[in-house]
Order: sequence, then C-alpha cells, then structure tokens
Amino acid sequence: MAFIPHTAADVEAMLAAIGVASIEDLFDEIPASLRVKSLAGVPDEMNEMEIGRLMTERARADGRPSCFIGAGAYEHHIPAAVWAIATRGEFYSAYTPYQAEASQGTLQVIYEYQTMIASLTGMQVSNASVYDGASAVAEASLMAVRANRKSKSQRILVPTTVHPHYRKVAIATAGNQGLRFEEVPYGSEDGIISLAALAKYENEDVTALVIQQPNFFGRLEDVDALTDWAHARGVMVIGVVNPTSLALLKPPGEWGTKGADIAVGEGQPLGVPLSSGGPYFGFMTTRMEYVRQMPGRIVGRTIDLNGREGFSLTLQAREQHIRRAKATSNICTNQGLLMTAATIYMSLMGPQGLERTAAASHARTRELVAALTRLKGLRPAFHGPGFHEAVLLFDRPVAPMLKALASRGILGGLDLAEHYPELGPALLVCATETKTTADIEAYTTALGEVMQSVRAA
Amino acid sequence: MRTREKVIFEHSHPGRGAADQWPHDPGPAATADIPQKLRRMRRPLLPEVGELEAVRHFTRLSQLNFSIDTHFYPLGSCTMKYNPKACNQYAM
Repeated sequence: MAFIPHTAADVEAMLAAIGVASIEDLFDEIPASLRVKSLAGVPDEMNEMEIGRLMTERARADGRPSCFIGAGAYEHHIPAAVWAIATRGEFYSAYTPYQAEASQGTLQVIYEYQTMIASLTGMQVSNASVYDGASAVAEASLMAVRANRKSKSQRILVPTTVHPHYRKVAIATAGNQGLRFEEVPYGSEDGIISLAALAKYENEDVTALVIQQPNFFGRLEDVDALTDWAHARGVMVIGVVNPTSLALLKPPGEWGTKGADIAVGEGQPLGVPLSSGGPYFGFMTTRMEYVRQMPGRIVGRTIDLNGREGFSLTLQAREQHIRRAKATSNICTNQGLLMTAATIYMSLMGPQGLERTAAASHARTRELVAALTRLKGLRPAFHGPGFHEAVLLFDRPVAPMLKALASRGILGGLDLAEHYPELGPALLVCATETKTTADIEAYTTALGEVMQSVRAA
Repeated sequence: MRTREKVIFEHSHPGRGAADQWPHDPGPAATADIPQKLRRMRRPLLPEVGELEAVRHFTRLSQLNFSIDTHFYPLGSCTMKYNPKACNQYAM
C-alpha cells in the first residue's frame, strides 16, 4: 500500500524548491557499493483488498479454539466500548506525550490510570506503565538494587513459583548488570514458598525477595509471613500480582506489617485481548519514598502559568534527559494505547465489576477442576487455596493429549514438562468468566476420550 | 476547542456501574475457599460510572490530543507516520 500520496508534479515542485535534480540525488552520499537495486524475496506490492484477503486466510488458520490456558495471559470479556474508544485516531495516532499542550488527553488518561493502579495494588504511586509483566520484574529488580542502600550484594531471591518467563527475562535484562538471581524452591505438597526454604538466607545479605501472588501454579502464597520475614532482614519485597485477582485478594501494599516495597504485574487481563501473545503492558508501583528510583515516567497534575489546571510528564529520569549511567532505565517507553484500553476497562468494570470478574473466573476454575478430576488418571498437584488456575498431575504424558485436544478446537492448558520436569506429567489449567458449564463439559468429555488413546506411563 | 475535562473520579457515583458489561455474580460461596487473611478488606478506588458516562469522558479526552489523524505533528520522527486504516483493522 502506498504511504506517500504525492504526484510527479508535487515531487518535482519540492525538488525544485530545495534545488535538487532528482530523488536519487538525495541519497548520493551513500556509496554505490552499499546500495541495493532490488530486494530479493520481497514480493510485489498488494492493494488493500488483496492484503485483506490474505490476512483473513491467515487468521482463519488460528481458528477460534476454546482456551483453557492461563499462565500469565488471561481471556476475559472486554466491553465493546473499550476498543471502540481506544482505537479513536485521536488516541492511537497521537505521539508519546512529551509536548504537554498537544497531549492533554493522553496525559489525563495516564493520570487516571496511575490513580486506579495505585489503588488496586494498595501502593502509593504508579508509573505510566512498562512493556509487560516480565520486563516489569526485571525493572523492579534493578530498582530494588538502587533503593535498598543497606544491601550491597545485588542478590535477588526469585522463587520458582514466579512465572518461568519472568525469571528468564529478569536474568537476560539484569544478569549482566551485576545482579544475581537465586532460585528458591517450592514445597512439593502445597506448591508455595516455605519459610524453611528461606532459612539458609537468614543471615545473608539479600537485596530483594520476589513474591508472585497468585503464584505460577495458581496457588496463594503466605504473603504476610514472607513479607515480614524479608523486612525483618532488610530485604525488600517485590510483589508480582494479577490485577484481576486484586479485586478479591489482599493488595501488595497491605502484605505483612509494612506492605510490599514494589508491586508489578502483567496488565493484559485489564481489557487487552490475548492477541497471539502481544502487545501487552506491564504495571509498576511503589512507595513514595522510592519514587525517584522508579523507572519510566509519571504524569502529574499541575497548574500552568495562567493558573489553569493541566497534566504533564514528571520524574522521567531516562537516558534522553540525564546521563545514561544515572538513568533509572533505558527502556522507558510506556505502552500508551494498551494502558488507555486498561483505563477504560477499569472504568467500565468499577470495583464491583472487577470483583465479579475475579469471583466468576475463580468459580469457573473450581468447576473445571472438579469436572476434570472426575476422570481417572489425573489429580490436583497441590492442596491449599488458589485463585483461578490449577496444576493437574497425570499418569500419562501431557503433550500428545494437548495435541489431540487442539485438533478438536480445545487448548487444554500449559504443559509444565519444560519448566517443571520434577512434577512429572503436569498441566496448568485455567478458566475465566468467559467459560460456560457447557464449555467445561465439552473439555471434560474430549479429555476423557483423548486419554483413552494415550497410554499411561 | 474544549480545554478541560473533569477527572473520571469526579463523574463517579457510589453504586453506579456498567452492569451489563459485567459477568453474572456467582455469589459469595464461589470464593468461600479463599482464606480471610489473604483477602482484600476494602474495595479499590475505581470509577463507578455508566457506559455512556465513560464513553463521553474518554471521547472528550481524546479530543484534547493532537494526533496524526487531526493535525500536522512534527514531533517524534521515529514513530509518527500515518498508517493506512486497514493496518489497524487487521491488527485487531
């Protein structure tokens, strides 16, 4: 598709105005040896109708499966108004709000977003969002090293109940900046971090402890005890939370006696479609005392020279504004459009709607686990309370069953073989409010049939 | 051009909401298995507005922006190029 509407006459007039003979002459400083005449492998151009047909065919290949995978990305109902407004050209074709007078709409949306996220997490201050939940954990770890002045070790305890991708991204992002990430095991019976596992760090210099609630298995950690254990030893607490769950669960700002120091998470459940894995957005919050260590940017409400109220970016110590080595982060772009969708979503849900979404999702997951465990050959992996996700252990390999289910239009869950081989054949399943009793029964029936064709180990 | 829009919390009325956009209430028994000490005690400060109020509020906010669709925008050479509307349609 053509992005440039100029006619030959327009081009000639412009070239004449700047005194250049041809467009080629604009590139004459690039040596001929570095230039290409044609791009091999790039097909001929297509018009909008042809591209539309191609995209429809590609999308059809995905089908519309019934999805029981959670593991960090959750299918929730998105009110139609969310994207009807977020895709207004005034929002999605606006630039990042550097110039306050040209961006009051986006700046106010961010301000409202920050207020909602801070309240949801029970924290004092939120930034304007970061890339995704995984990078938020990496940024929170780097932030903890700056904020915890008493600790010199740059050691971050990351229990294996934290999302495996988040752990990997944290190591990839911060592992070469001097941070050491150390795994803490979970209890094989209950699937949560035990204080006993932390005992070996009792008298060691540790910078921060990461606690995911609900954890990757959908189990609820004893957040009060873990937070108090950390604070008693000068260890900062980084909470990683599911925003939907916070309508029901104790917010990180209230964990233990003092509350978490930093709380982050994946914002996708708040109005962002699954969308084949992205783009999503991360949220990041902290206490006021650490606000200058927080990466990204914050929008503030202020009064202009004429006494009128307005909004502007503040506290954005990124590499464009200060010396690179002093920047809080060099990846400070916020996910403006997704954050806009989340703000509209939270406004339409309100405290009651979000609470119902959380409760209905939890109820559906309980219904799913009850239905599936009627089948022979599987059982819940852990005992104790959870939220809207659960691990099931099988007596036969999971991968061939998932493949067979997928061919019937059912995404049955996440196979844990790669990240948790010690569990044996294990499946992480999730149901949200989008699943009906009929969906759950259809899955249960299909799994029962599929299990017949996979021999028990 | 309008220059100011109230923050959404100023539009909020306790108990109001876009209830038809919510799932059905599964009742307290649905979450009775979550222990008291892990629960939230006070509801978060989220707006309590109807759908039309939210739509008007965010539409007004959009109108306070300069954007490629509405104005010449000489900032941000890295990202500020017009994209044909079909690109947006297919991305959704």
